[in-house]
Amino acid sequence: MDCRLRRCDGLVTSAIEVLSPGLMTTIQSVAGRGRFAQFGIPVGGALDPFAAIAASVLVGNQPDSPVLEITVSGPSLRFSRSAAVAVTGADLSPTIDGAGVPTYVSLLVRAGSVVSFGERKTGARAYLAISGGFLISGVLGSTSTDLTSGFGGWQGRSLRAGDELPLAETGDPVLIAGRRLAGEPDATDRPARVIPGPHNDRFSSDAFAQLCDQRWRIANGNRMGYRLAGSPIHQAVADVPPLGLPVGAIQVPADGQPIVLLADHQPTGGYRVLATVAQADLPLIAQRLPGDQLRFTATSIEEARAAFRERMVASVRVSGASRWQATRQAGAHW
Amino acid sequence: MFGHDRQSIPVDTKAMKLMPFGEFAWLVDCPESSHSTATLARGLGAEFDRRGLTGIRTIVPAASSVLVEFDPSVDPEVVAAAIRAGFDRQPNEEQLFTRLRIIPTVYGGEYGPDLADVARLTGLSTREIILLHVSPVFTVEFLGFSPGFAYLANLPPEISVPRLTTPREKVQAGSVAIAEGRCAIYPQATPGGWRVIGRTAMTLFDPQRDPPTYLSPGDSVRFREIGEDEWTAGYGVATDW
Repeated sequence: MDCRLRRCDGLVTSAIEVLSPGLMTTIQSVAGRGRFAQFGIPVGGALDPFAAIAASVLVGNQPDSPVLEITVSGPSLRFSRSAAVAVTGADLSPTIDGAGVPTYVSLLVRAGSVVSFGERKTGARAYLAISGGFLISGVLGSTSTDLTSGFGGWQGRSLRAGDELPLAETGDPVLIAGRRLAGEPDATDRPARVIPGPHNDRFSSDAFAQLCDQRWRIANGNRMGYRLAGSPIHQAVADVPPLGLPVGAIQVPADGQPIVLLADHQPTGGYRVLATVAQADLPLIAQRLPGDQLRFTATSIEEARAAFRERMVASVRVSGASRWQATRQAGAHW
Repeated sequence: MFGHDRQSIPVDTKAMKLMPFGEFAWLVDCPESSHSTATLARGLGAEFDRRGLTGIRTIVPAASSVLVEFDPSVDPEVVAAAIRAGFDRQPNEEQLFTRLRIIPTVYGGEYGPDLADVARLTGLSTREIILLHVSPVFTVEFLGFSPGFAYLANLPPEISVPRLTTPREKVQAGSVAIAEGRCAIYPQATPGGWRVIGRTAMTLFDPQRDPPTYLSPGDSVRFREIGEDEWTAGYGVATDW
């Protein structure tokens, strides 16, 4: 399906041309497909939603605008019009016309310039937002890409060389450049907070302690979830009747090796759930890769809710923009 | 025609346990409920609407529970109160109503590569297995696993076979499969461990439509045997989507 949109006079609107696609670059939004989970459709969305929101807010877009989610090695993109851009999340050494630029700041890109990436310094997933946003239609309530079923985002797939992604028109990007995130991005070298349950009664009494005592290794995984390796958490009965699952649920199948569910997870499953990662700490997992280590620590629902609010405020507190504008954008979505 | 759930039985809230699932969701565990989770999910949706509760993100009925996820700005106790009230109410006509879906299916051969195995495991002939499959009215318990993948209850116990010991890496789209008391249809080619006895050419998932799946929780389903020469007759999007 040709997703390029043209004005009535037949001319192509502004676009970014993908010179090289990077390892896996997809369009994602923080708006998910929750309304359709009951039909077996993954909720989906940006793996690190706070970084995605920060990128959007930095360029003056709505917090749930589509952004590029860039995995490990980044694309090379030529801009047909000038724009303000921001890169957040992982530090993959972003450049504009070959010159290194900082993350968490809105930057001016001129018509004809090339945004590219280099060495991976920290993290796993970077987010790129462009002022005005991408001109693509949502599918099932979201512009996120469902890679498994091949719909949404950019033609239901990751970017390829030669793609031209249409951009919406925008106000003067010079006015948007120079914004910074007021707070510090969250520290990532700490255990991820988890809430016990709901299947506590189907595990031995020390199972939760076993989860929190270990340095787990991320064995493998993708946007659906990460499989962890460590000393198995054994229990007598393996499965439960399939149940609906929120993002961050930690399932434990018969082999005792936990699976942490991420944005593209299947909406139901029949493994027992020992704990759920607090959503404020999803970035701790999203910014790690197979081979990395991961630890967990217990938290309460109240603490998790407070941590989420804190992280959300930190993601939208932009200096250099009017406070009214940032608050209005934040309130519109959350 | 079809089909009303046992409508005069009131829901017993003592049969329901509310558990937090992370910080933004309630798991409504209801294995003893006399109503299907599909009916209960509809009732909860209606109760949320009745109370003007916006900010409910997701309602997912499953085997014996309903998951309710909500926005971070919503008070979990307000949601819990609505869930308890929703459970107390008697389901109405709309919530109990089920649609009947007929699935034209070619059985056996390349379309049902496991049919012969099912015959061997059960001691029945392939003709008997097909008759046992086209006779009952199945109910869509819930969807999950992949878009439009419906778990169908009411598989006759005579043909309730175990799953494959090694799942297939790729099951053809439209495959009709059975295992462990349930039937399912694979809307897309995916890995799968159920035993494939037939295939339908009907479209079951289309992300450009609303709803995006032909089958919804609570639907009634029957299978209709067609011959290979009739394969295209069942092709594409059903007129009653």
